[in-house]
Amino acid sequence: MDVRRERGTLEAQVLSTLWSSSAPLSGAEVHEQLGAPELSYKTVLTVLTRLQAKGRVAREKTGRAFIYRPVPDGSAVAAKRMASVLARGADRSAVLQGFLEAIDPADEVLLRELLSTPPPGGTG
Amino acid sequence: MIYSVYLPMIVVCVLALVGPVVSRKLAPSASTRFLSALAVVSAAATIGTLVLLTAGGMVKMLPLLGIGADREQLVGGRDGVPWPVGVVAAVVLALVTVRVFRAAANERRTLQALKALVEESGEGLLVLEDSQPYAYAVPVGIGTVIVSTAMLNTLTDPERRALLAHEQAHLTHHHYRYQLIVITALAINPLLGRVRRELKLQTERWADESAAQQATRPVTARSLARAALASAAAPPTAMAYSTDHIRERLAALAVEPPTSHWATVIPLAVVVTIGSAALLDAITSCAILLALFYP
Repeated sequence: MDVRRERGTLEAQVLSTLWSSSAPLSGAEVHEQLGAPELSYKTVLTVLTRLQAKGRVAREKTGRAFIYRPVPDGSAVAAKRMASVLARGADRSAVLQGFLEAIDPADEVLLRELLSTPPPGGTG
Repeated sequence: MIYSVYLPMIVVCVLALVGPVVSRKLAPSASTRFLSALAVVSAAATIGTLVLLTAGGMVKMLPLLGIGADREQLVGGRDGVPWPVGVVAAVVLALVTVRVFRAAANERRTLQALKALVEESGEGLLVLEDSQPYAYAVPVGIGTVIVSTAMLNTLTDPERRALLAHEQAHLTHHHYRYQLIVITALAINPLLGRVRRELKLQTERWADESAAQQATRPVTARSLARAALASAAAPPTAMAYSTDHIRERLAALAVEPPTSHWATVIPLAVVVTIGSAALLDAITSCAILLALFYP
């Protein structure tokens, strides 16, 4: 399976990398964490600049380097639209694939148990 | 024809009941395709049988209404479909048509609403500032993952990666296509409810496996558990309908990646072959009858 196709478009990849980090990242860190060595550092910077122009990414200067922080879509309209789609029960639809459905209260115990065990390799 | 026309319906019942059990013996990607194929076969057999019963019944009924009465003796002695059965079949066929159109309209409406939401973005990942925790994959354009900040905030960095990889996998593997197939098949034959639920589980499992390849199995499981707890704590809105798939998904992530045991599919393949032969026989009989009636 083609790794790049697996991870979607370039912009989605860069955004995913930024959103997968709780701290802002430098261009070099984004490049490294993308896990796509065939991409050049320059390409990553171009994508970051494009995302910045669209307002999806904010750039800050720390010392001599720039760091990038992802910006969520804060418009109330978008959140409301999503709420109305979900309120219609659209998560049962074919065009909306969710991460999970509602859980049984009995399963909560199981979930808490799983999370109370130490994370593997100390990375969690 | 008197028996062969009803046999496919029995086969469909067997498929609807046994199919979801057999699919558990396959890896998620194979299972998804198997269930979709099963849904297509079942839907086609349902439509085929209904059309045959309607046609067969009409042949018997028209002479009663005084149409083509002179040819009645040609048909009279042959086996065929009792006309009341034909009427019922015609009514059911009409109902099925309405159900399919309704299901299609529902999907269209949802897609339109999501298009309006996604079109402004176009990057493939849309993070909405929202206090409700959710994460969805929307097959509009190149495909967009929609995640709320509330969902991301409950997860650690590696768990976020697992979540995003899971949603991206839904898009990469075109899971909505399989869902559309099964939703349409379910509209045609309500017996396929279990097949639809099982397919939902298998596409989620498939996406879980993709996420596990990028973020490891334990991290994917933790991501899933944390997201589930966050959703459970949130006020119940659209996520209010309950299935216990989470338990199965976590159990599957706790062990090695699954492999397919295709041998379990063989008995069902035999049943489908018999059903197809019966349907073919019924179609032939019906054609002969129609040829007699309308030479």
